[in-house]
Amino acid sequence: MVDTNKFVSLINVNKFYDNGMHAVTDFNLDIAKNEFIVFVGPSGCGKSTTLRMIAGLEDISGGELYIEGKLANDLEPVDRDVAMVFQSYALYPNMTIYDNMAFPLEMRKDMLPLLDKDGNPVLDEKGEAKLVLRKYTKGEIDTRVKEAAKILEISDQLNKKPKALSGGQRQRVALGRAIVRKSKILLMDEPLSNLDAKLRVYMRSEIVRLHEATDSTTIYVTHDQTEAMTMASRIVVMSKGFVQQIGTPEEIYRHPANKFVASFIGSPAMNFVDCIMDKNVLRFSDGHEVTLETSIIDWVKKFYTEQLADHKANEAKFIEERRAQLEREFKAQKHLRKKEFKFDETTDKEVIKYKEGIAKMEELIKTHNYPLIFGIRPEAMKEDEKGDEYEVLLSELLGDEYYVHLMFGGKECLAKVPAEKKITKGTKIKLSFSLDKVHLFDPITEKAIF
Amino acid sequence: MAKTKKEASMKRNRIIDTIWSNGLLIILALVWIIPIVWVILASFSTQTEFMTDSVFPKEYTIDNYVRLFTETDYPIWIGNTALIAVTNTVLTTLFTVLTAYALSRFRFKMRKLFMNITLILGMFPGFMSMVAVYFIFNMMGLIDSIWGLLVYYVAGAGLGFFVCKGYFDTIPKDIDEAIHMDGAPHIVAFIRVYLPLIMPIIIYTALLAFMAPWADYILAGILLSDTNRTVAVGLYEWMDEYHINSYFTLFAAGSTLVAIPITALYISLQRFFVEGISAGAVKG
Repeated sequence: MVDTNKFVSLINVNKFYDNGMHAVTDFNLDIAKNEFIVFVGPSGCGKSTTLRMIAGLEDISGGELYIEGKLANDLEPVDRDVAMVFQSYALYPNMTIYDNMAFPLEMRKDMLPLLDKDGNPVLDEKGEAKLVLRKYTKGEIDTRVKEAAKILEISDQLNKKPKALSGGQRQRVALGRAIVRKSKILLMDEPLSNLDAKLRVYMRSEIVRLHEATDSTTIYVTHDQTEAMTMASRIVVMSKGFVQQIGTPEEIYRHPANKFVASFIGSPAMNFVDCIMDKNVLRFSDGHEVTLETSIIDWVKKFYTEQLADHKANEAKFIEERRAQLEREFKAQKHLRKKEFKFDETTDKEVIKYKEGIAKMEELIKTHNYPLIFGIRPEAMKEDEKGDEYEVLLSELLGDEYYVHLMFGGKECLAKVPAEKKITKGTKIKLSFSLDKVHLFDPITEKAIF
Repeated sequence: MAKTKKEASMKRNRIIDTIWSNGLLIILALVWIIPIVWVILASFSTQTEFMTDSVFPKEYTIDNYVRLFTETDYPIWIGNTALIAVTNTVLTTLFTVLTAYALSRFRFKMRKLFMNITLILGMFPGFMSMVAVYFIFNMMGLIDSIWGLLVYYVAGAGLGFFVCKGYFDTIPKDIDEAIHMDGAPHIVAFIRVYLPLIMPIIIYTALLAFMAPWADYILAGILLSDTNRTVAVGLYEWMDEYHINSYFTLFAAGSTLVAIPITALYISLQRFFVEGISAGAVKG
């Protein structure tokens, strides 16, 4: 029996494009059965590429993809038993809604009960239906299509052409086309981004409900962090082709692994302010101080020692990877140039940056003086009579709450406060925050320390 | 006050514009239509000569049409041309659409190069190759056969894929991927999804392929002999100095008849024709 925790496995999956671009780097993920995984990240982060590699629409340049324990790298999309919903819906404009949904079934052969001449299933000795690989009959297709149409509430649209439907209805048809096949894996590539805001919120819950009703394993790609937070059972945050963090929405919100995740997840974004750590006190450039309950300076030192060791150990690998990447890019554009490929690690920007990072860390450990990035979410800053007083620079009313801009630690920050009283420019408000809501990041690697 | 003055002058300009442009269009239409009307009228004339003393015939008769079918080879020519036209329509459309499908939907080595070569080849007029074609066909024994002519028309058909490819390019790539995900084989996808979507361009291609043989004089004139003619070649012979005075009304009648099916087709399918041309224009 296949390990249900490894229903879909991606092991060191890489994608290089013909132009030498390294679109996805070492993607590792085990997806359990019935999970709702969301890939989220800004555009160009490789999330769609990864999805398309799982679908079989893009070749996998390196690494392995297992579906139900079987290596799927070279399987055709049909043989992977995946269904996909496209951003543009990709409905066949010339076919009716019924035909659009029936088409995938007409094209398929599946393990289905063997039928006798009258269309009744042939039973074996145990009284169970005998399964054979065959095409669907007209009747079976009809049942499946009507069933899916009923779930998606498009039963009365079946004879129309896609053109006659609204955006939301087309989206339903696209979902219907994906679920009629009862595929084990359902892939969705930004399915809601063509809908207006109101419909998007509605369809969001519809998709989650659909996922629960069909108990398929869903992989969903979006650039909208709200969709990721509300729909996912696990989120994969990606940036520049790298996986930044994998975890449940709660984990990712509470304990972002690095500055990128912290800023990408959560709306409005987390505030970041530079500070200097002095024992258990954080000092800001405007003289403001935050005292932590316990001294974490040893922890910070340990973090840097580990980072330094890690950076040093991986230096040769980093340089080699950088060289390989540049060479790939060079080869892809070879027809443009005549020169030989050259790589000088003493002048390469990325390598210099990496080496500078090492030098900086050594310096930090020696001087015991750590500059850090202090992070606090706008919703963590609460109104409190005992708190510090701030002057409001700008206030934005969102109905029941204000986004308040104020100076904190020498930088303009945002706080989310309930709209109990009127807050305007120049109003003085008192705010405080609980220390367990504070995040600290290392300015060199941008990783979370605390 | 100043404003109304300006408005008045604008209005005057608009009127002048309308008169000017409509006037020009009327003149152009007349210039274009007079020869046609003249030929049609001549086809009903009792005088067989080319030079007559009046613009309009003095007496009208349908005798010319009757003679066309009873006394001349005209029915054979029509038959030949129709046969070529119909076969050419089917084959040319098939080849053009398939070539366009392949070049638009698939990515393969030399694709760009192939398209560029085609583009450059297309810049040379077809009759430049006439002599070579004659010798090659002579060697292959295809001279003096309407099938030889057909081979010439169809062989190069695939190279006229540009407009059709432009139309194919307007079908989003997502559709291909959806087909790929659904697991439909290319042939099924082509027939069930693409063909219905490209109907306008198929009709445009077919219409052009159908009309070409009716109007092709140069090549048909070289490849075909006296007995085995197409309408264009046959009719043109009546215009030489030996025949023109006795055959001119027959020529007019023949021309009029040929024009009827083409005109009818063109008008009934004009909608698709315009769609086809504009599709190529935007996306070509």
